[in-house]
Amino acid sequence: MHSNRYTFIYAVVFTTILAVVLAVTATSLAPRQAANEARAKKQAILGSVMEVNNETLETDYEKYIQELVIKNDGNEVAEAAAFDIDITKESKKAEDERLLPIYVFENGGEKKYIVPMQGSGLWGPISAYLAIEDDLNTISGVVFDHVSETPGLGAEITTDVFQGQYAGKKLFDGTGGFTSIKVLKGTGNDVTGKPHEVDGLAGATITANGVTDMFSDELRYYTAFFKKLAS
Amino acid sequence: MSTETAVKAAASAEPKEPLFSKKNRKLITDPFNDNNPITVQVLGVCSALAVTTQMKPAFVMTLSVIFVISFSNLIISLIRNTIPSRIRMIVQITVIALLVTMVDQVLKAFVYDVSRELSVYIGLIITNCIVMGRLEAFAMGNKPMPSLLDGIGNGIGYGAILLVVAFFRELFGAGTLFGVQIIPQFMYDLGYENNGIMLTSAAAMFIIGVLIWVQRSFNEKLVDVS
Repeated sequence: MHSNRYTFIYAVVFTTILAVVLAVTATSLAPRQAANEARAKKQAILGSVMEVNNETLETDYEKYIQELVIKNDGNEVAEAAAFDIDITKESKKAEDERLLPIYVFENGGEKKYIVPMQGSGLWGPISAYLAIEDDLNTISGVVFDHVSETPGLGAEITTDVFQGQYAGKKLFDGTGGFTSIKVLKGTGNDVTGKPHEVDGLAGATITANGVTDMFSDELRYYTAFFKKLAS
Repeated sequence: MSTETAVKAAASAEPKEPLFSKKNRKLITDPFNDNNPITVQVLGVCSALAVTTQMKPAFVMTLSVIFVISFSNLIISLIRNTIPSRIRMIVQITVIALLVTMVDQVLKAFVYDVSRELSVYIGLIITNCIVMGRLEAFAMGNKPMPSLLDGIGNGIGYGAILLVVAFFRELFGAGTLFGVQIIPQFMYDLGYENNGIMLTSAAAMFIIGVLIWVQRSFNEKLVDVS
């Protein structure tokens, strides 16, 4: 039997050694991880408007995407860099202090606005990049991401089938009121001719509701900017 | 069944260097069949359900578990005589947690896509009872080299079952293997449908159950166990 003193010293020394090993590993890998994250973000942004070619990702991004930061009154904030904004952190600030990044895609005559969004699913955060056409009403495409939704159920939000439904849906009603887009409960709903609804996912109601809430909560902040652009 | 013989064949093909005495070889080969962590000891079933919907995550999980289990066995075995017995479990868990966190960090840095799919499950290796079970049952009382071999053997034994289960689940649940379409389009045109139940955890239970049955009908040593 070891003495209390030995046990105590052992615990302290052992933990310290492990902590140092971990710290060294984490610090030395951090730049690579950050690069991967930035790349994944660019993939998602471009993926909402076009087919992403992994080889030319960096140059395509430079070529087509312009970054903007606005506030909820619709005015641009010149000094902020959109790409580095952590929207989860921003969402905790007061409404009129939130920095809202927006990415503008331009290719020839084509112009689309890409809005980043974040919300919560069943098990963890979900996020999306929503591309909106030049009319600032029609959705051109969306890319969803999630951290820990159930594979085969909630995780289905990232499939092409689910994401593809959003193309052509409308954010505003006929009179210009913000209506957002609702994910219906269950699978097999008829959504033809319904510009504000998409078919849901059977067995993943909470994730689907999370998507609905994310759209209405996050896009609200951008409506002033859209109205300003449109006028 | 064919996979079973394949596993045996792979096991007997282990290099026969002097280092690998008969006893040491047995440490590696035993967990394949006679003492398989999943089908005989019925440990680690939880993670076997979680990561086997597709081959790719199952494969990465296999590699990660082999890494964690063999190195935690090695480290614990090296320091086994210094560990105060009253805090030995805490020491073991800390070593496991260290290795798991390192695996997670390395995956994030080198195979980012896979890490995004697996990050939840990688954390679960810490609580995978196979790892802790081997530390308690083997590494605490054996020299480093046999412990390392025991870890590798158990990791592979666990991974082999994982891959077999994932094979059936991905093939029948999605018609693909490693994401590549295997079941041809004309089968679907003829009315074939992917089996949705294969995507649920329950299917993994059925497959593991069948594997245990098949294994026991071939291996008489196991019949009286349990």
